[in-house]
Amino acid sequence: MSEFDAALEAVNRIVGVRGALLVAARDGVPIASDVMIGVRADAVAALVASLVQRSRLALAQTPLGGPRYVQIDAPQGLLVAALPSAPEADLVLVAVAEPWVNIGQLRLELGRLASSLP
Amino acid sequence: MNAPTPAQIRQWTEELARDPGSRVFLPLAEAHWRAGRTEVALRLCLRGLERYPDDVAAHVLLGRLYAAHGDLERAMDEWSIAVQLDPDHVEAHRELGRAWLARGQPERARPHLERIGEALPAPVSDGARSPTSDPVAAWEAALAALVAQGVLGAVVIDEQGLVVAGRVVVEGIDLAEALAAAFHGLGDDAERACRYLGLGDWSGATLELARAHVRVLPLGRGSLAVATAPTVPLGRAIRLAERLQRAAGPLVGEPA
Repeated sequence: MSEFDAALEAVNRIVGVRGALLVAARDGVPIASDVMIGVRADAVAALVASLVQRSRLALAQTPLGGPRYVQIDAPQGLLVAALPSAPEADLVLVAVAEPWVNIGQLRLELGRLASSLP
Repeated sequence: MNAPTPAQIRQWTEELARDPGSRVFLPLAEAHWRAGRTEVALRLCLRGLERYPDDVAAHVLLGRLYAAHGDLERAMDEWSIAVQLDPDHVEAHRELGRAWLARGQPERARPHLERIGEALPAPVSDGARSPTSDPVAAWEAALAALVAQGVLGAVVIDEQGLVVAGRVVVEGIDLAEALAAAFHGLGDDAERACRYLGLGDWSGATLELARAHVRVLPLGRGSLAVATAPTVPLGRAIRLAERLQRAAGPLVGEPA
């Protein structure tokens, strides 16, 4: 099992997570994915990459720093992304989860795993 | 104030290690605070105040650190000490004024804000205009009241990405327009992502940045972005944003 697969498995162990994937932020391509049937990994990757790129570009002009964690809330679920702290890092760890997921646990786990991404 | 460089911070740290009585504890504490290392800043401030209990600026900073942790009671104690030591201290009066506003006691905020030439954000006792009849005044009051609780600022963004109201001042620069441009687009992306994934309409977005938490909420056809200090716990930051969302609604024709 690769280190990427191990990271995705760790995310998927959290109750309420429908799927996890690693995305290359620059081009929106999924590098690895482990998602439930019905979750389109390629679509999630493209949409998350667009979100991350847009916020990185816009925030680069401010002293607030780039995004390290992004969470989108909706009534039927959450889309969550964690980024390594290095600004040049390209990989983003993403999870799609049920709205009732333990967000605190998911956030901590994603942050921990993202910090070890290359 | 320009942010200190890492070399400056290292130099201050070394100086303080050599001489624990050095006054550099204050700029060093402030630098750690601005970098989100509140615990370190708090320790430095408390140790510095043991040696220099009359250091007004240190009391003001300590108050801000307590406020960022949500402990407004202790924060106000520190700011009160500061104004006792220096009755003309502008920042201490401003913090006390905003804190009393946050506690819903504008009559107690008034003397502090008047002393530094600031008006109350909304008329409260003369009956001429109530905050509810003036959406801008109500919004300004709500924003001012939350500043003492760690809100760096907030901006109401219309459907074209333009600023309707608000400010987000960091290091003396108002970032409202930059954030409006950034988060207007984010709302579009979030909406597209949620709909495509069958999650329903997006109801909010949270971003953790190096130096702030930002909560973005849909507001009418636009959005509201609320920035809080990174020391404010995320759950609290979300609740503070919801309070501002209610006050911001009438600015874009939504009910309060």
